[in-house]
Amino acid sequence: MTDKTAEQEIVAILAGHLKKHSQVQISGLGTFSITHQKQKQQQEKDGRIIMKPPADIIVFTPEN
Amino acid sequence: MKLNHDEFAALLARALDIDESEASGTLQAWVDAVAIETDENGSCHVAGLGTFRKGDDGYLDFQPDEVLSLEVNHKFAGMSPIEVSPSKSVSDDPSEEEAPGLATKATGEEPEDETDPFGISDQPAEEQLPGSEMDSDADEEPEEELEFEAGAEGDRKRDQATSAPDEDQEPVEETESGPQESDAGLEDERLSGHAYGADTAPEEGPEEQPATDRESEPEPAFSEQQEEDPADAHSPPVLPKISLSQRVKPGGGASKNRRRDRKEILVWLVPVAAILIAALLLFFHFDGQRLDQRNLSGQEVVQEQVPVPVPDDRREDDRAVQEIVPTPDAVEDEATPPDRDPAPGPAGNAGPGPADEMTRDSALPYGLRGPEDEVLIGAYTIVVHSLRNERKSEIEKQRLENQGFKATRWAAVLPNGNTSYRVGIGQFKSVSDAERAVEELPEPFRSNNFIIRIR
Repeated sequence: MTDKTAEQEIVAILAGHLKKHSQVQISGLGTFSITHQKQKQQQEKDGRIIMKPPADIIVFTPEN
Repeated sequence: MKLNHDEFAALLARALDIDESEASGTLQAWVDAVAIETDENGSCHVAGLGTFRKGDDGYLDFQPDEVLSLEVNHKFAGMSPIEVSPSKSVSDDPSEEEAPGLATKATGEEPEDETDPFGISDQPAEEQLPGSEMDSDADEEPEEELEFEAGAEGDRKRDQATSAPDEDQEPVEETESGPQESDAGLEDERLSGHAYGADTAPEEGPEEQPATDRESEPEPAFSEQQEEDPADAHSPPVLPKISLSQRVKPGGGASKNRRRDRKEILVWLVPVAAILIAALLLFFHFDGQRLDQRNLSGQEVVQEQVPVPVPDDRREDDRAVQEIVPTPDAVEDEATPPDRDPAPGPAGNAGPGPADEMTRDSALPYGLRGPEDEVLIGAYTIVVHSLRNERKSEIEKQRLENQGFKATRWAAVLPNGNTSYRVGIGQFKSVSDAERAVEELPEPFRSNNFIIRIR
């Protein structure tokens, strides 16, 4: 593993941009992006219909 | 906004205060280290970022850190799934509960016919049916004994009754009616081959016996009477007649008596209920008139107060008062009449419930636009902002209000303890209303919102 300080800085930059919902591309690794999942209604097994809240999730797309 | 590899390296160089090429090399070294550790160990955890794993397809998989995920999803953090159709869930639950209920009803109806007349409701049916033959065999001897004893006693008592004066006939009849009927029941049951009521019929007494027993009883009693009549020709025929009348009453006219009793009860209940209802209506009527008088008196007071000053400079105040004064009447006229106000609870279901609800709903400040008169707890709203800064949330709320929206702002405590100030647009009675209103929103909010219930 690389230097601890360097890794912390890399993580800080990456996380900071992800919090701003920015897409981050790193060569050799992949692309980090934020996807917004809309609210949706879902029927449970017991018949109840539940509205699931929206969410902003981190999606990682690996590089070939 | 997108950050590519070179831009990332430039930012890293600035953060580490190194050359950009050196920063690029450092970034590439970190990437290689992650890939090597993932290949060797199957996973590589980076603190504050997440865990990289080797997927089944050979590609790299990434599981973000929970803290980072929460930070990214801060706008919707703390929102839990809500039930859109709780009524359906409620209706489902009773259906599940109704099934056993129906089963109990079905099982309860069957024993009622079988157990109640014979007093064996506590015993399971499985025990009764297979053992019925054995019980009948076992009970035959006691039946005969009982019969003989009862018959002997009956003979003795009949002898006493014949020798006793007429004044003693009534107690003799009362005591005799039980054994006689039991004798009759036993004989009848023996004749018909039923061993069910042999033990229980004497215990229950003549009044609790079912109609089937009663119908079967008079015949043997009458035959006994016919047999006894020649033997006791000199005795007064009062005893058999009375016993016959007693038998005939429950057997032939029991249902008629019950109907008569019911009719008598109904004859008394109907006018009493009508009187009570009339009294209640009168009470509410006069109570509503009192309320009218109070409101009118209050209105008169206001009207009396208004014209007193009447300065020319305050015509605007007069207008304001005139606008305010008619509102009580208008509200009362539009809302439910005062007669119906005192009883919206229990009597509301049978009375003007839907109309009242419609008027109330129309009176409530639901909708997408307009001023926010009050925050309706339990109503639905469209959340478009969830901010940690209270001032910013207030600014956003003001901005929405300036655009003509009915903006609502409240504080929500997140699971991590932070407080998020949420700004919602509109207040709606149902989720479907809110979903319809979402289509009317301008674009940043139309695609990025969440409907939530105001709590």
